[in-house]
Parts: sequence; structure tokens; C-alpha cells
Amino acid sequence: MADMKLKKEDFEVVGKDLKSSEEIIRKSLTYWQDAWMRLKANRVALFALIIIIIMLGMAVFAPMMTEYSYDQQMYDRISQTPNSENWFGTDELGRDLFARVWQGARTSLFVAFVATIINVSIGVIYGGISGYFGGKTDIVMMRIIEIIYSIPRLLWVILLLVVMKPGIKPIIIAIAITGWGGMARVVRGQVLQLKQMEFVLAAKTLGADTTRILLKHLIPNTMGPIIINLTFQVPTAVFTEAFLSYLGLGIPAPAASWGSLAQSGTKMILLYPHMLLFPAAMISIFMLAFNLLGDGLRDALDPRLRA
Amino acid sequence: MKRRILALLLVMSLVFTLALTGCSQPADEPEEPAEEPGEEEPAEEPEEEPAEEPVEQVLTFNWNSEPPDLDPQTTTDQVSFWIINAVMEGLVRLDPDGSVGEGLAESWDISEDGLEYTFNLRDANWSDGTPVTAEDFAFAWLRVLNPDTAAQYAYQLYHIKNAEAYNSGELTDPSEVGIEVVDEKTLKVTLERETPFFLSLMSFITYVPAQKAAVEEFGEDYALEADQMVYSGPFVIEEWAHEDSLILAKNPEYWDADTVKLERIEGVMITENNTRMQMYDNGELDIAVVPAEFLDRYIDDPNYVSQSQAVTWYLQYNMEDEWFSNHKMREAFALATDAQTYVDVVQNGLGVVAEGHTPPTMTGAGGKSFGETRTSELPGYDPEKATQLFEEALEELGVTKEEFEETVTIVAGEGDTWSKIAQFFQSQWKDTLGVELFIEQMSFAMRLDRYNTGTYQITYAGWGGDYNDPLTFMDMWVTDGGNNDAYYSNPEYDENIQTALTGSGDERYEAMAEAEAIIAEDLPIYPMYHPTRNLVIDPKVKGLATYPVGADYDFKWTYIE
Repeated sequence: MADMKLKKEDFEVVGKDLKSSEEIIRKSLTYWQDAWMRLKANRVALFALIIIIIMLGMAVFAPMMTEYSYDQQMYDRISQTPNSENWFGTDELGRDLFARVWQGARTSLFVAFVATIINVSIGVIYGGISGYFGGKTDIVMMRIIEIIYSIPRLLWVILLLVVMKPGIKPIIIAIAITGWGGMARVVRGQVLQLKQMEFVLAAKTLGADTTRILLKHLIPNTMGPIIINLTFQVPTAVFTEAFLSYLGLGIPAPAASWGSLAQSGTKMILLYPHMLLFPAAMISIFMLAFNLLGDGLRDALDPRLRA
Repeated sequence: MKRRILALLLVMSLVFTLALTGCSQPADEPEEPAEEPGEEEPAEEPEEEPAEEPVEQVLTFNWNSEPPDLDPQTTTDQVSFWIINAVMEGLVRLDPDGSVGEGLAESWDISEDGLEYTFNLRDANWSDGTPVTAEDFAFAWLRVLNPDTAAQYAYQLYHIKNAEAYNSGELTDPSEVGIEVVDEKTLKVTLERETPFFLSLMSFITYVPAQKAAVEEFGEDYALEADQMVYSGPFVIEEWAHEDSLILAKNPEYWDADTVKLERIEGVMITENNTRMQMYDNGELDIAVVPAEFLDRYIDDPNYVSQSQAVTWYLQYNMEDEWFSNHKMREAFALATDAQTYVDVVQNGLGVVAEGHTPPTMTGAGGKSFGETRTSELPGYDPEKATQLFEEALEELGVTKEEFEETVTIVAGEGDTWSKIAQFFQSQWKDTLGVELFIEQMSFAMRLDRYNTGTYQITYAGWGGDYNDPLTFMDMWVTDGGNNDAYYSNPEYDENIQTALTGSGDERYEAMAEAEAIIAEDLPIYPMYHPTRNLVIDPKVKGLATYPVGADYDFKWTYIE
């Protein structure tokens, strides 16, 4: 290298760029954007999510895709195996199983989502109050949950059927009555932990009332566990409905649900296995998908795993 | 040390299971070793082994459901009939060919005018060892007729002099009823009128004796448990696990115990078709009724038998119901139901569409069958007329479709077949009449209770003939009749049945054909079809007697080969 001398003129004073030093290069992400990013990276969970969306879409649109209605009995097509006319075959009264399976999906998913929403609303509020107030309130409220828990769900349904006509209503009520306890416990545990943190003290100091602290500070911070619990509650509700219909306590004929279809399919399993195959496969796929999604969400929503 | 004992236990249990399976094997494959005499085998071996292991005389059977009532004097249903026919015996018992055979009566004399029957009882014992006496019969029959018993089948005894009057309360002195205990072993019965089928009626369940001591001892609890009954038939109830199983054992005190070969009948109560057929396939059931949907699988089976039976299934309306007392309403539901499609689709073609309440094979006028002499015709499937009639009926009653839909339910039995049947009707009526009725499925006992209390609107029911005369069907619907669950009442009909009861020869049959016509017009019921009895019977089961009327099965002569 040649002899090189640095001269003073070679340098120029550019000054201090205060603006750019403060600039955040990495894109700012909210909690949800961050969670979504991590969920997207989880292939399995993403796949499960897509399946759930497809199934929901099918439940809405599939009954319009076929010319047959779910309760139309075609006496010249009894117990047919899947074919080009009846994609899932027909049942022993000549009803199109494709129409029935997706009609059943409407019932099952409706029960699942409504029951879950009720569970979550009651559970979150109940658990939040119980955890935040603590002490005697907490003890009493938790004991009430234990009492409700001690009565089996099946018994609730049977008791409800004494006073109500069988149908979607008693099933939803039975799931709602017995299902929110778990959610309430999770929320209570989280709130017990969170209420001692500084930001709650800060909010109190600034004069926030209990409602505001609960709704604006504590519950949003427990959102992760709530969402995860929720994704596990949906398949549980689907399964509970299936189980009740399977026992004959479910929705009345000719309406269909995955559970009742599986039940009538079981009777014919030796002769026409396809009658059981489709509803059973739907229940399995849906439950698996929701469980996988729940798993993925747990990872995605956990702040400690944040990269 | 501990581990050693465990290992030993494990080995022992394995060995014992092997030994046990080894033991039961000969029962499954009898006689085979005996039939093939080994040429080169050492001579002593056949001597050591028993040449022929006696086959276990155990029959496995499905009762279908819990018997609702095992008290012979009050029961009305098929399941109870099967069981009582096995554990009780009346004055006569039907032979396997359906003719009147030997029963507890050794002999009998019939007076020339056919009004007096004198039965001489044989030396037979109750299952507790005490002798069966004429008093036991008189006691049982008067118990049926006693208005306090409220026996639905009381009218089966109306052939006996003054029986009807005593049962209806007109007469209060039971001694005026034509039942006379001459001595311990002689029973004299005086009839109201000549009844040609009276002798075969003596095999009917309501006519079996009851031990006075037992009935009085157990009172309200009589026949509610296995040990709260005394038996006079070939079998006794050994074990009764309610809603689960009912096991019969041979009755050593039975007078003809030498003829009875079966040691035990292990009866289960299974309504589920799959389970039943699977149990048959696995050899856990010796006899199974083939459900319609399983027909294709068993129709070519050499063990499959299809028998005709005198049974009618019909839509039954509650005539005292607000809506169904309307004739147009009943007709609308009848016209909206396609019986031919029902038989083809729901029953897989196993049966014939009914042309009336009485099955066509019953006897009719002039020595012909009842079917040939039937003059009336049931209204056929006519959806347009049904729709119109339904609208008119709703208007007459001043009720909207929605209100009607809200309040009317279809009462159905439990199990898969029932669910299918009920959904067929539901769909037919929805398509034609535009109302989707709620289906109430319930146990057999519950259903009978709903009928007996009149707390139903529309249902599907069946009736099996009790003896071989059309009257066994036709007298059901007389005003206030014990089995008149439709609560039907028509004096003209009653009059015809009275003629059928008291008349003789063709006059009776013509009156019953006339009564059929009234039913077809009034429609308290809408006869749908006459089923066939479809069974698969394990070839090792021999000598099972089946009848088209009365108790369907008789196990007295059954044995396992």
C-alpha cells in the first residue's frame, strides 16, 4: 500500500443525529401480532387452523352444495355405499349422509361454540372476582365450584330432561353449568399472581376502581391461558354433545348431530360401516385439529417464549 | 420370595385357564371322536375316554326386554307370555303341532250341549312340592274376574257362566260364577254359551293356576321376584336380574319332568340388534330374531327360518284425545301413511300389508280363510286427500298446524328398530301433512303404562292372536274392553262382536267381517302389516315349538344335540 497520510481536510464534522439514534429498526409488534407470527411458524398448528376453518365453512355451505336435504327419505336408495350421487352414501331410511353429516356439523359446532362462549364468560368473571378479592369471598366461591363439580354432567342432563324437551337447549345448559369451573380456576390462579404486581398497585394509586382494574388490567393479562383453555373447551363440548346423543339423550330425530349420526351408524357397523365412518372421522378430525391448534396457541401466546 | 409367589400365581392362573378351555371344548363339538373309531389306536384309549360326553342342556335365548308383568293373571305382553308359558302350565298345553295336548288335566268330559266341562286333574305338584288342586284353578280364575284385580284379560274368561257379570260388578257373589270345585282333583266349568275353542283356550296364560298360599303370602309383591312365585310348568325361574337377565332351570317337581331335557334356559334382555346378531354369530345366543336390516346377511343361511304368525301392527289413535277423536284427523294420518313402502323399506319386505285388523290366515266363513271372506277395504295411501282432510280437521278443531305440532307426540318403543319405524312415520307425515311430530321413545313397560292410562295421542302397536279364532283380534275394540287402548266405542261394533261371541258357525264370521268394515270406516286404528317371524336357530337346538298364536315359543320339548 502506498504511503498514505490522513489530512485534516479529509474529515468532516457531521454532527450528532439525534433522530436516527432513537429510531426503532425492528418493526414494533403488538402482543397479538407477535403471537400470530409465532403461530404461523408452527406448521402443525397452522394446518390445524386451516382444517378448522374448512370444517366451519363446510358446515355453513355444504348443505347448499347438495340437492338433498338432511331429512329427505329416498326409499329407492336405502343403505347405499358412497357413490357419485350420494357422496357419503345413504342411511337405512335412504337419507343422504353427506347432507346429514354437515347438518350434524352445524348442530355439533353450534353447541360447542355457544357452550364455550357461555363457559368462558362465566368462568372469567367468576374466577377474576374470586381471585382479586381473595380471602373469604375466594373460599366461598371456590367451594361453590367444587359443589357444582361434584354432580356428574350426565346427571345434570337427565335432570334437565325431566323439565325440558330434549334438544339443543338442555345439552348447552348442561355443558355450560358444569364446564365453567375449570376456566374460573385458571383465571383465579392467574389473578392471584398478577394482583400483587406493581402495575396493579400503580393503577390503584391512580385511583382506578375494582371493575377497571379487573377488566382493563388483570383479565387482559390472563388472555393467554384463557384462549388456550378455550381451544380445549370447544372439542370437549363437541365430544360431550356426541356422547349425550350417543346415549340417546341428545337432539331428537330427524335432526342430526355428529354424535347421533355416529350412534345410528354404530348399529349398522357390521353391515354398512360407512354410516359410522364419516361422522366418526369428522369428530376425530375436528377434535384433533382443535387440540393441535390449542397446543400451538399455548406456545405462541406464552410471553416467556418471546424471541 | 414375594416375586416368586406372584410368578407361581401367574403360571397357575394360565394353566387353569387352559384346563378350563379344554373342558368346555367337548360341548361344542360333540360325538366327533366317537364317530371315528381309530384303527391303529391302542385298544385301551377309547375305554379311558368317555365315548360320548353328554351335551350340556343349556339354551341361550334373548327375551328382548324386561318382562313388564309376570303375574299370569294380569299380564298382557309377549315377553311375559314367553316366560310364563315356560314356568306355568294350565289344564292343557298345546302340542308342538298346535293341537290341544296334555296339561295338568288328565282327562276331561264335555257335556252334550257343550256347556259343561269337567276336568280331572292329574297328580301334579307345584315347584314347592305341594299338590296342584282344582282349588288353585278356581282361585286363579276368580282372581282374574275379581274387579279389584283389574285384569285386562278378564274378558278371556267371559265364556264362563256369569263371569262377565261378576267382573263388571253386577254380581258380587263369586260362587255364582260357573266354576265349581267338585273335589280336590275335579274342576267343573259351566259356560255361558257354546264355545268351540274353549279347550284350546285352556292353554292360554290367563287360565293357568295360581297357588293361593303364595298369592296371599306375597300379596302386592307376587311375581315381582324369582322367589316370590310358585311354578307349575316345566321350568322355574332360577335367577332374575332385572333389566339384565332371567334364567330358567328345569322344574324337578313337574309332572312330565322326564320329557323335559333342557337343564337351563339362560335368557338375556338385549334390544340392540348388532349385539344380538353378534352374540348369535359368536354362539352366545342359540336363537335370534333377525331384524329387517340384517335380512340380506342371513337369508341364505341354512339356519334361517321364516314363519307366518298371526300378528297385526297398526297405527293406534287415542279416541279420547282432543285432536284424534276427530274422524277426519284419523283418516288424514291413515291416508298419509304408505303401508307398502313401510313393509318394503322399514321391514325389508318381511311381511304383508294388512287389509284389515284380522290376519288373512285366520279362519273365516264357509271354511275359507278370513282374508278370502273379507268384504271391507281399508283406505289406501292417498297423500292429496290426506292433506285436504288434515286441513279440514284442523279447521274443525280450530287449531293451527304449529299448535298441533307442539302438542302431539309419537309414542314409540325403545331400540334401533323402533327408532327407524318412528322416523319413517315422522317423515311420511311431515311430507304429506306438513307437521313434524316429536318422537317419544320409551321402555316397553312405560309404553304399556301410557296406553293404559290413555296419556298418548298416536302410536304404533302390535297385537298377536291368543287363540286360533278371528275373535282374538276382533274383540279387542269393544267398549271398555281390557285391551282397548284406543278407547274406541261403537255400539254397532259391540253388537257384532256380541253376535260373534254368542252365535255359531258362519254367522259368527260374518258378524266379525262386518265388525272389520266398521273398523275400516271409523279408523280407531289403521292396520299396517302382518309380519313374519324370522329366526336364526343354531342347528344344535332341536325340538323348539313355535306357534302362530298365543305364546310364540314352547321350550318343553327343546333339547341340545
